[in-house]
Amino acid sequence: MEDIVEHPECEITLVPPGINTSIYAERSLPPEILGHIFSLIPAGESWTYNPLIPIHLSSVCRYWREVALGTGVLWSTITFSRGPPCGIAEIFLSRSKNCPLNMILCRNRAEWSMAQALEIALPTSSRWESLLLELTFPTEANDIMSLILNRFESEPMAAPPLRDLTFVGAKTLVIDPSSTALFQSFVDKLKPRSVSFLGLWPGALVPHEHLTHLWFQCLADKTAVHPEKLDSMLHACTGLETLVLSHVRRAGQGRLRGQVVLPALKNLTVYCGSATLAKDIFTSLHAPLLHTLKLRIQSHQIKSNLRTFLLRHGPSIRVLKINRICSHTINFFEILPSLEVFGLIGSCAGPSLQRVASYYAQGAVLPQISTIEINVGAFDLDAVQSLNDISTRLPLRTLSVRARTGYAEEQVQENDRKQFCGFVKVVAWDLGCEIDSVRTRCFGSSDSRDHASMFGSGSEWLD
Amino acid sequence: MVNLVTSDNESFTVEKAVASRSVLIKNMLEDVGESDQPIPLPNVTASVLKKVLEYCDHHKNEPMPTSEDLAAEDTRKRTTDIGEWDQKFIQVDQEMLFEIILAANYLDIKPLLDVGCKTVANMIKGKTPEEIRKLFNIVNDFTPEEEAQIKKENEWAEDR
Repeated sequence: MEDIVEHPECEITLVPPGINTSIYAERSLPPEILGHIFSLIPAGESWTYNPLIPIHLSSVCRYWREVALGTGVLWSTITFSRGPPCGIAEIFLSRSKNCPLNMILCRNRAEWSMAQALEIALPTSSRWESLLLELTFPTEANDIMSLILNRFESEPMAAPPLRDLTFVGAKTLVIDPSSTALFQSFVDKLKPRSVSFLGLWPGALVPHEHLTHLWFQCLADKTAVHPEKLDSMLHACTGLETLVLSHVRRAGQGRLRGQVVLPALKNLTVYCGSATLAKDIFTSLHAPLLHTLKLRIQSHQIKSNLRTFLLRHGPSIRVLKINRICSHTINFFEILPSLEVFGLIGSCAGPSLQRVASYYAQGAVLPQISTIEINVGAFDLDAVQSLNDISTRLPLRTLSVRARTGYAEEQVQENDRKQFCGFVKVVAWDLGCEIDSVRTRCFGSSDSRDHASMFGSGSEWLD
Repeated sequence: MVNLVTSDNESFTVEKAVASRSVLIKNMLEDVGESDQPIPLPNVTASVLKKVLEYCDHHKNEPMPTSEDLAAEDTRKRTTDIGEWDQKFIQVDQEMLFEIILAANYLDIKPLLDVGCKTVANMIKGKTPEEIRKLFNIVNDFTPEEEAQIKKENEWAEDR
C-alpha cells in the first residue's frame, strides 16, 4: 500500500469535529486502505451472497462511493437472482474491472431465463474463478452446458482458469444418461480443482487429474447415490485431497466394490446421510495421508467400521472434529496417537467434554492434544467445568469456543475467558453467535425448503 | 538497541527485534548498518508509537510474514477473525484506531495493518449506510441525482 496521502474531504475523520489537533486534521484513511477494508467485509458465499453489502458501502458518501467503485474485487461476485432482469449483474460486472469473477448462475425465483443470464455472463468467461450453476430442468441443463461448451470450443481462450465448479439442482436433478457425455465434456473442459454437487447427482465423472476436491451434498430421493457409481467415481479421481459426503442418501442395495485407495486424500467429511454408505466408506477407503476427519454421525450404528477405519488411519490423523463423544467413541482417543486438534461440532458440548475429561483423568496414555475447537449449539456449565479439567491434563496451546448459547451471564463468561487466557491462547470465545456449519451453507440457500424437507433436523441417519 | 524519535520529538529506545517488526525500520537499519543515530519517524506521534511498539513487542518472536504468506493470503477466502490478544490490544477509540492503521501502513507492519483493517471491517459489517454515517460521523454529501441512482441500485439489490 502507498504511503499516507491527504484527503481533506474524506469522511472517516480521525478526530471528532471541533478538536483542534492540527497533526490529525487533514489525515484520513487513504483510498487504498479503505478499499482494503471494504474487501474484508464478508458478503456471504455462493447462493448466500448478498449484493447489498457492496451497494451499501457505495451509498455512504461520495468519498466512500469513489473508493468502493474503484475497488474491483468488491464487485467480483456476480449474481443474477435479484432485481430486474440481470440489472444488478450488469452493474457489478461494469465495476469489477479485471478481477477474477465468482459467477453465480442461479435463477431462484427470478422471471428471466438462464439464456438471458448467459448472454451477459459468457463474454466474461475467461475471468471466471468459480462458477455456480443451477440446473433445474434436464432440457435446460443440456442447453446451458451446450451454450457454454460451444463458446469454449469456438474460442479456446475464453475457457476460464476455474478453481471451483458447483452444480446445484434445486429440484433434485439427476443428469440424464443420454446427457452424461455432455456433462463429462463440460467438467473436463473447465478442469476445475474442486467440484461440488448439491441436490444433483452427476451419474458419472471422468477421470480428471486436476480434481482435488469433491463435494456431495443433499442427495436424496431421485438423486440418492448408488454406491457402485460412487465407487467408480472415486476410482476415477485418485488425486483427491478432499472428499465431503454431507446428507447423502443411498439408493439401491449395492455396495462399494472392495478397496478404494485415495493416496492424496487429506480431508474426509461424513455428515449424516446413509449409515450403510458411511459403513462402506469406512470399510473400503484407504487414505494413507488422511489428516483431518470430520464426522456428524450416530456412532452406535457404525462403531465397529469406524474403529477399523481409525485403526488403519490413526497414525496420520491430526485433526478430529466430531458431533458427539459417547461411550462408543471415547476410546477412539487411544487409537489416534498423533491427534493434535480435537473439535466438537454437535449440538451440546457438555456431555462430550465431561466424557473426555473423565477419560483423561484415568491416566491412560492418550494423545497430547494441543488445540480444542468447539463450534456447537450450546456451551453449558458442564462444558466449561470439563474444559477446565481437560486443560489441566493436556499441553493445550490454543482454544476456540463458539456456541449459539452460553451458560451464564456475560460477565461470568468473560471472567472464565480471562481465566483460560492465563494459560492458553484463546483464539475465539464467542457465546451467542451464529454457527457456521455445513447445514447453514446448504439450507441457507433461497431454495432451502427443497433441501430441508429432504433431511428434517439434520443430525439423524437416513437409510 | 534502536533509538526511535517521533514527530512530537519523543525518544523510544527499543530492542532491535522489536523495531524490526517494521519493514521500514528494518530496511533502514540494514542500509545504515551499526549506528547510534536515532531514527526519525516524522509521521508517528509518541502516543501512537507507544501502542505500535506494544504490538511489536508482543509479536517479536513470531516469524515475519514472507512474500509467499502474503500471496497465499490473497488467494484464501477473506476473513475478519482476529486473535484474542490482538482483539484486546485494538480496543481503542476510533481516533487511535485510525492512527494505528496509518502508522502500520507507514511503518510497513502488515500484520498490524491487517488487525486494524479487520477491526474497522467488523465495525462496518451488518450496518446500513445511515448507521455507518452515524458511527463514523460522516456527512451524506450526495446530490439529489446521485441519491436517486443509489436508491435504484439499492432496490435492485434487495431480495424480492
